[in-house]
Amino acid sequence: MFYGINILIPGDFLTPLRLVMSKEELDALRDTLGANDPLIQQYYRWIQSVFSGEITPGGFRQRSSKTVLDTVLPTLHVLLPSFVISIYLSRIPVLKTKVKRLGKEKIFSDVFGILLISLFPPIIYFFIGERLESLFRSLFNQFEITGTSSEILLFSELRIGFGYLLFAIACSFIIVSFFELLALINIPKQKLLIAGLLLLIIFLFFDTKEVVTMLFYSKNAFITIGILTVLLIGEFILFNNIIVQNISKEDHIMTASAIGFSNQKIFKDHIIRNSFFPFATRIAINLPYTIASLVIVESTTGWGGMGSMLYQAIMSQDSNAAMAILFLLAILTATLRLGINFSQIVFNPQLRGTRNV
Amino acid sequence: MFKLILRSTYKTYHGKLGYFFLLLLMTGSIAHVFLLKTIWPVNIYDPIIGFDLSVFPHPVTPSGSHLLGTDPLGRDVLSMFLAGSEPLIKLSIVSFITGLVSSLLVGTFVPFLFRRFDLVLREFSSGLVLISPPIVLLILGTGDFLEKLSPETVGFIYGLLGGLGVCYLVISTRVKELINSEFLNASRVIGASELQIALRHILPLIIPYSVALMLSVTTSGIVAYGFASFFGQVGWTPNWGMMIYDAITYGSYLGGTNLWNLLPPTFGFIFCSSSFYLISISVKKQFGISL
Repeated sequence: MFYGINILIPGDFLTPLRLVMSKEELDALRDTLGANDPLIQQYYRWIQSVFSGEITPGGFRQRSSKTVLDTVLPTLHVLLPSFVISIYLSRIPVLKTKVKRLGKEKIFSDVFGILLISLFPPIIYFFIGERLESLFRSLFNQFEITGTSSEILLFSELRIGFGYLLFAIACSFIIVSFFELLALINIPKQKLLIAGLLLLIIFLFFDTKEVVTMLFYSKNAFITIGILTVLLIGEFILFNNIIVQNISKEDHIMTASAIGFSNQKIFKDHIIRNSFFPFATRIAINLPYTIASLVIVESTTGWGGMGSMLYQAIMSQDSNAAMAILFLLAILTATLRLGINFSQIVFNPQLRGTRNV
Repeated sequence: MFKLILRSTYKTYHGKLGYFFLLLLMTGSIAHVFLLKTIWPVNIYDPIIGFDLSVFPHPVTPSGSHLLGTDPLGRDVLSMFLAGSEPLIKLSIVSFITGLVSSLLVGTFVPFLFRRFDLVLREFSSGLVLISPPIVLLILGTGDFLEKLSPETVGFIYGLLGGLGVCYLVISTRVKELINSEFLNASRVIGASELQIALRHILPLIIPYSVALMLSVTTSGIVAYGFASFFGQVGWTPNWGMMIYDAITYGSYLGGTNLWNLLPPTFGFIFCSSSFYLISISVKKQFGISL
């Protein structure tokens, strides 16, 4: 299917060479490299090269497999923290609603969610980009941290990549805890503990220079995370509203309310736990649209992930690279979906019961 | 059925607000055509080539002659804002109708009358769901296709992807739930043909599902078209994406980026996409669809 979409890209991987080569030379090169072969033959060759570890085949390449694969970690650097922040923050409007009102229409939070979804990414970038940058600059000045994000090139990419992933997730938990405290929901002990543990791992296994580089790298990352989070929060608020509205109409909630359980307890023990699986299913269904948001946001901020690489590849008619990224995005989507489905089978007693029957 | 949907969605707050936004944009679009033909001189108020020579330097702040000011290239912001709603309304309507027709046509008959073909089609739809329509749009917006990428074309592509993708999957599941229901068996006993059952009993029950889903799919189409227009992939049509691009890019060189250049297109996008989403929520609420 993704191969099929790629055929839609006008021209082929040799088209950009039309500026430096004559038509005859280009046709000859096309014949040599098999660009004029029947589609099925080209597809078979592509599949063959994918299984041999080369995801950008075709003889002539503008971007190599390594360049494409190098965008996977930066994508995860922004995607996972955005998910963590938006999943938790999108629950706040529901948590601040009384149980009795949960089954009713939530026009304000619905409109707020829609408003966030409809915000155009370049506008969010315009409004928060400069502010976040000046915040980071003042923090660096205050703590006398010097260096540049390009120093990341001095270290092992994979090691610092994983280190930064942990750092970004720890920061997301801290941000979530801050907002939960601000909204007077509860003291987020577990989240702070996880964040503390992740930061401890970073300080134990990475030296000061690497940590400073991560801080500089996070300046650009958090602008992208910020925009993606705004879009995802809107989407998740709407998911939560529908799911919680459905659950709150169920008999066990009414029973818990009649027994006299507190709002907090009903939320924690009955609503939030039951809402996890429908919520996860919705996230899984909506993943292609999340990936599309990623393309839009990364292209806006210039973040070097799969989204902006796909945009550049399509714009420069590099069909091989575009195909490789679409292939990786398909794997990412399928993996996330499988993970969600698998967790449902493992943790959902209803699904376990069905399987045993 | 469509009358019932229209009437019942109007009863909710979500529906009222959605219809209000949509009406506002449609009125704006019609008003623009009227103003440009009667009151506004074309050389000043044209949304693409207009330029006011009497004021300088551009952009100018909102005033009596330019109610929302001018952009860095000297064009009237109000005129651009009003003209920008037309392509998005066209896109939304084409996308909605295409998706609705394709999903209802295929969704009613295939799972009910051609069950074997449904298995193949479901696999195809599952694949389509994995393909993100904005990425398809991005691909189509490059190279030779650029000039052909009109709002109607984008709407048609979006409608087909949404209608045969996620919408077909949901409708097909719903039809399968209905196949062995008692009222359908009763009609069979009375002597109704399978075609009659499909048209008289199944179709009315799946219309609200298709309407609700297609309305929300249209929302993402609006954002994607805005993104494509921001990067100049939809040719020279007046649109809000281009307004934002011009305000930020040219604004940084010519007199700074101003809020009166940025806010109208931003609110335009918000009104346009939220109108469809709010009506979609309203349909879901009124017909008990928990999607």
